[in-house]
Amino acid sequence: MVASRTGSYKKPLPVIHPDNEPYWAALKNHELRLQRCTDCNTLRYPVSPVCWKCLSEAADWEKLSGKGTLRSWIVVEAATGNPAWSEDIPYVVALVDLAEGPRLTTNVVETDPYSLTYGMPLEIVFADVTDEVTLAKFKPAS
Amino acid sequence: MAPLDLRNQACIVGVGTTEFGRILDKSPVRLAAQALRAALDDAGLEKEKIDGFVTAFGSPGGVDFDEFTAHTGVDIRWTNQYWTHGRWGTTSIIAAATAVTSGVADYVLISNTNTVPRGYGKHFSRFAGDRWSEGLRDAGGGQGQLDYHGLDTPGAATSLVARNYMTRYGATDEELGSIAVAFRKHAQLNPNAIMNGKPMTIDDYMESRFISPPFRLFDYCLTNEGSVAIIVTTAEKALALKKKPVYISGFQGIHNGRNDFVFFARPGMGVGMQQEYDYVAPPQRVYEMAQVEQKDIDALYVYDAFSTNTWTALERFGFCPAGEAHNFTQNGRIELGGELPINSNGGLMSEGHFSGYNHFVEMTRQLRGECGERQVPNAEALQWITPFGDSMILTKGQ
Repeated sequence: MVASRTGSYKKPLPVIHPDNEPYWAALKNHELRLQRCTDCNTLRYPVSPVCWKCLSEAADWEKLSGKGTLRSWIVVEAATGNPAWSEDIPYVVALVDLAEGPRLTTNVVETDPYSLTYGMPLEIVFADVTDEVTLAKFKPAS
Repeated sequence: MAPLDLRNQACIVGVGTTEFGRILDKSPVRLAAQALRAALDDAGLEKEKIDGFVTAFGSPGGVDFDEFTAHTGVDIRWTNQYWTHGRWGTTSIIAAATAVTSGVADYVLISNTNTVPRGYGKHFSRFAGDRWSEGLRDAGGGQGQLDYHGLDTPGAATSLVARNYMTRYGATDEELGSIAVAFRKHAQLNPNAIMNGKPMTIDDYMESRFISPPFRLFDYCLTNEGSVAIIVTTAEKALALKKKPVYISGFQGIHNGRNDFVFFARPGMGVGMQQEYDYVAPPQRVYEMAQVEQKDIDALYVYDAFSTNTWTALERFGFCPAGEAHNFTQNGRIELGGELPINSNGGLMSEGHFSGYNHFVEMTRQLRGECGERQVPNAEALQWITPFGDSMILTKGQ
């Protein structure tokens, strides 16, 4: 199901279903968790019912540090998709390499979009966008 | 058993298009039928001969095979239908070529139709909504979108590739702009190109507004309406038809994996799930099959949904080493009259976004010598390439 809309949040929301529900439940608790394969030890991304390396379904939801570095980014200056993004223009979409390895597609917030530098250290921001959904975003590390 | 050698065993014998336009306000079925009529006429073939049908439906709204046969009376005994959007041009024509050479069908029609939500699509509520079907995946869209983080168009996603490429290899905005300028120049020589009559200089490009830097407006393909039809049959049957056959000499399919197609990047760029490494183009089956090399290609056709696709595709296929395509595309080298003309039709960026089927039409017409003032002199071997690894070489045969 698409998480229900409450309040004034008009932007797209993730589709939450049993396979990925623990990921979203952890974020709601302000924890970043990804699956670690209990057969081959691969840290799994994206969230999946199966390990992309060994096809095992066995995994633990490992709590991650929320630390990362800025791999690459864009500053979106025109909302050409969903017009709900217009209110955020300009906003940053970034590739963030987590300290533990996986590379997330996410946003960098709470800073001047034009002040970012390659490899800059980042830390997670738990963005509670609705009562049900918290998104993992990042900001410059303090 | 060795693989069957299908080199020059199947041919393109008919091509047809409708008018191309940003908004034509004609239904998908009407457009598809018009392109069909044009292709049948081009081939000198009766409708009743068509017994195979391939489509990737079109984007966002085209015509599926059930609807097509009901409306056109075409009676098929084989069909293959792919997912909507681009990417399926090579695959569709490979499917047609293998169908006719295996005998599962004799004359296969490849049909693809585009209508847009603000055009005829306004009559169809199913085009409404803010999500691309591919974007509904947990892992993001086919082009890497993740809509709930505001990466909700293929263009924004591909601008991440562009940003990465330009930073890593020191490419400039002006170098990027030279791609759009070259294709726009070609469109001035193509009466059916949507951007015909609208020339553009590098200054015009540099003054256009940023959408998702480094992408400016003109780094994007067009969105538009129209239809393309292509007819494929065996080399033997082709000889009985109206025009000189164009031979399908070599092909290879879409490559996909965690290091492959993400954000229209070639492998090694470190975007999306990709690892970052120094990419060296491996030997490509398409050349081995066609028995030609890069240096034999008279003109190149690229899936130019976004400007940087030209760089990533050139490097993927070894036309230049990784990191050098931004230099390669300068000084008129990719323009008509240059060393390696690219997208003589104007491409998706200036002829129109018909998912590359329009490029196959252009390649066919070029090999027949029908392209007038944009004709590539002595065109013998033309190649279609994409950033995601599929390719086809068409030739005049031997």
